Amino acid sequence: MAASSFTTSSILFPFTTSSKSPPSQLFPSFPCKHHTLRLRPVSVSAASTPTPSIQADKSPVSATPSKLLPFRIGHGFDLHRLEPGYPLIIGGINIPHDRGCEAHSDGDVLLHCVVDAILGALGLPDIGQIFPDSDPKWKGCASSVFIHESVRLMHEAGYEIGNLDATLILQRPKLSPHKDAIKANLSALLGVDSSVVNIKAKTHEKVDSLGENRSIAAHTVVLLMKK
Amino acid sequence: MKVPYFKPKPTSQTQILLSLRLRPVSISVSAASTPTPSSIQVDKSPVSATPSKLLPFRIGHGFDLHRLEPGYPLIIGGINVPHNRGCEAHSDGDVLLHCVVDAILGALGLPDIGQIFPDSDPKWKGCASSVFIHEFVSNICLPFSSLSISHTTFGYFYCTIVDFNSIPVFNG
Repeated sequence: MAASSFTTSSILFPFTTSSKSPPSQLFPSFPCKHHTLRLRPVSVSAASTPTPSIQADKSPVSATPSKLLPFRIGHGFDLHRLEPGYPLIIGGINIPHDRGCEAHSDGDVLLHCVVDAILGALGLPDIGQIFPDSDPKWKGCASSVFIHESVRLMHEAGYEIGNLDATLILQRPKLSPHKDAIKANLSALLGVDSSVVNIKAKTHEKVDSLGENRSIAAHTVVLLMKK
Repeated sequence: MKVPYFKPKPTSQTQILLSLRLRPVSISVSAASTPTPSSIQVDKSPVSATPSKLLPFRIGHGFDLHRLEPGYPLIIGGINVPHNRGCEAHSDGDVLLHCVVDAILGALGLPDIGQIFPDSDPKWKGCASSVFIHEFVSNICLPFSSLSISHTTFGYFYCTIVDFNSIPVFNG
């Protein structure tokens, strides 16, 4: 399945994005309905003059300084409810478990928040806006499609991945036996060496929905470097 | 009678976003690679078999959660905070120091705190969390990274501490 581009109408970007879809296609005018909480602590708008948190010694000055930042950071968060009868897919790997994620796509919390971290670092709309739940085109879609699209946007903006660190929060099952497979698959999807990707898992100490095995969550931070 | 969907229990939750700046003095990697000069030269970053080791910057993330119970001290960042309950844990239950350790380990691509200082090891029982930081900086971080401690700068910490005890119960 070919991933489609999105139009840039009504949204300002610090760089030009090519689009294959017709110009008349717009983002939905209504706010996207999110089933999960998404946090975006990092944002860069073209209209403002952002202050880089990391002062490179010779950072260039230009009309759109954010475009030329040598480094960018992004954060992603995703949470899905666990229900019986669904597969549990983490990082593209099917994990044996008695319940899985009920979601519009395949409910892969790790890939979803990796996408959000990359998009956030680039100052782009988040995964729910680019791949809205209301669009049947993405229903049941493998999350690897979203990864490929965000990686394409990243390279188009002139960046590549420096390193990535992810924290999975789930009470069960134990992820240790699957960590290497998840890491290898995520590295392959991103097109990077596996030493660039790090994954860890934590329990939620049996507290609230995460600790009671009723949900699963993930955090990801990513460092992007100018090519 | 409706059962509240969200019934918060007293917990202390810490999330930390760490930007770790490393200035490599000498890096023992494959002979084919070119070590990065001490100054940051992004435009001339060398291509090598293990590119991540030569990054001038790395980013990591840590998360930790401990239950709050009466009769325990509440220690955050090594500071004993006066409170009527504290963290029940294998060590001293310092959520902040725990996830600082995890963030640094994650930035370096190393195993997490639970693997390096396992709950099953009685050596770490009741241990102050500052020991974990000292332990991995001197024995784990430096040998792996071939870094001199004086050249390691912890760039930026973004830290959120959430005490669920202060969140009102949802009566939905």
